[in-house]
Amino acid sequence: MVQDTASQVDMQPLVVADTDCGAVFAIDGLKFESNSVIDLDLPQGWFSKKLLSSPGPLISDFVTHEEHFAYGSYGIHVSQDDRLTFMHPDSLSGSQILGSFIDCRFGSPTLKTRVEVLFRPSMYRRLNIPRGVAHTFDGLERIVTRDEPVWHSSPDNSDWNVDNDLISVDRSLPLAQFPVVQPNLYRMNDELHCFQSRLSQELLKTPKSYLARYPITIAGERRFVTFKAKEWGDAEEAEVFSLLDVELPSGIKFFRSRYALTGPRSWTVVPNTDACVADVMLLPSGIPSCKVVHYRTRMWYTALSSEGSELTIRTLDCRRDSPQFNVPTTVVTFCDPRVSIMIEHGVAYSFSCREPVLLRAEQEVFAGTNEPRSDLPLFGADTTFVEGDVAPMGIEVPTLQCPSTVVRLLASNEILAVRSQASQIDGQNGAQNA
Amino acid sequence: MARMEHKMPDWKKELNDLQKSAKTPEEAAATQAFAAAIGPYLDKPELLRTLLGKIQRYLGADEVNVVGPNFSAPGFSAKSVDDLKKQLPHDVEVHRVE
Repeated sequence: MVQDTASQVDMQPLVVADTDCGAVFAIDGLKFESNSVIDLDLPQGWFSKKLLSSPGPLISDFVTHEEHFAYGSYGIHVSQDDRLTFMHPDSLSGSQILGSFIDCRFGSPTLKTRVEVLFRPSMYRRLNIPRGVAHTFDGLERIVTRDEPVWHSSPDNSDWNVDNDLISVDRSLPLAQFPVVQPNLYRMNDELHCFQSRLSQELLKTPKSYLARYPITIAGERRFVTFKAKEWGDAEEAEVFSLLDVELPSGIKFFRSRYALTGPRSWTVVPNTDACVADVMLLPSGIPSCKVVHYRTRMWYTALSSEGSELTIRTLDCRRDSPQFNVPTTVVTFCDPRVSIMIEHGVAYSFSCREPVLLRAEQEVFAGTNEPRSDLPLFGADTTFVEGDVAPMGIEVPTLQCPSTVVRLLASNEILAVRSQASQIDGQNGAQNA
Repeated sequence: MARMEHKMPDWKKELNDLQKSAKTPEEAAATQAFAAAIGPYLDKPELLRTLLGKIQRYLGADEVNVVGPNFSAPGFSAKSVDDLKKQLPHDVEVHRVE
């Protein structure tokens, strides 16, 4: 029997099978959908999987969850539809996540419907949570969550705070007392998504703690009050400084990531680039047998998982004009989402770690002043493997940075190609089964 | 170490340009509403924090939701903001009241 207290555990959660990428639930719009994941056939020790962005604005941020992480509240977004992918670098991880959802949307056919879902992390599926649906999770310790938000706006919506799109609701509140909110009406276009994401990047040059926002009655008037944890991030500066304070070879730089603190040691990492689009790469444990070089693409990598594990970066500068041309180097650092690793185009590199690592990969693309260049790979096919410690040849790398629209176009094309291929395979399988 | 910096964008101008370039009535409505919401902040950007929609961990150090049912319940009413502040533990503070 379902009782009307949100924190009750009498309701049996719906168990979603590991391979179910299309489960639909009793709350209107709450569902799983398939992600686009490429199984990579690369030399030993190199990335084994690549998770692409989902169709839409192509914006993503990543939330890491510390050990013993727990939510004290439900959260309701007014602007933001969530599209969440829950990942663990160890695909054999037995961790289970319990999601709890309550429909709080004014006018919804499923208003005040409550759903609980039990599922395992998988990069192959995302959970769509419509704006206005309260949600919270248990079992997120060490899980990395990718969110691909879709933002909406409305005029004069007092439930909406553009800077802090959250209404917090205590987990023990009876169901009947959950607020009813007015979700924003109008979907923002992709250009506006990029604008908001880039402005967020700018704000998070200096990391800040994320605030809880509760509706509270003060002197008889309903107000929204935001609360801040005072001590989150006290050790930040010293820790991040020690990660950044490393002697690096030419062509590699470490930068502080742009992030908000969503716990004392949990971070929401926003994009580094103007394009705001990223892939997720799974790096298996072990040492790669070769390096890779991109001649047109500057790469930004952020280790999202395996925090504290040693990460070895081996490089070989293939740029003919570099003072370290053809000099192999090794850098040892630690996996930490608060630091992003930038590798210039023309520098061959490899990563290795004793355990699997989820890495965010972002790109900036360059063209030459004398295109087309037959000595360089095509855009979108810019990966060359380098055996040993000798540069294949000295390359004069292109210097004109392409606008972010080019990066987004390349990403969109790749997504379309993969989805088209997947549809064809599904169609062939369907025909065979018929 | 500083990230590679591009020229600082003129956010207000860019937002204005986005409003002009909206292609459909819904885009125009969305852009206008967003511009109205964020416009005042662009005059005082120090008032913005994250522009994110997230849920955060328990606020207090002892993993109890210090802003809990006492405050969330519809029947609760603090006499004033100061009254509310007195009820918070030492490691949680009120940031803003809307």
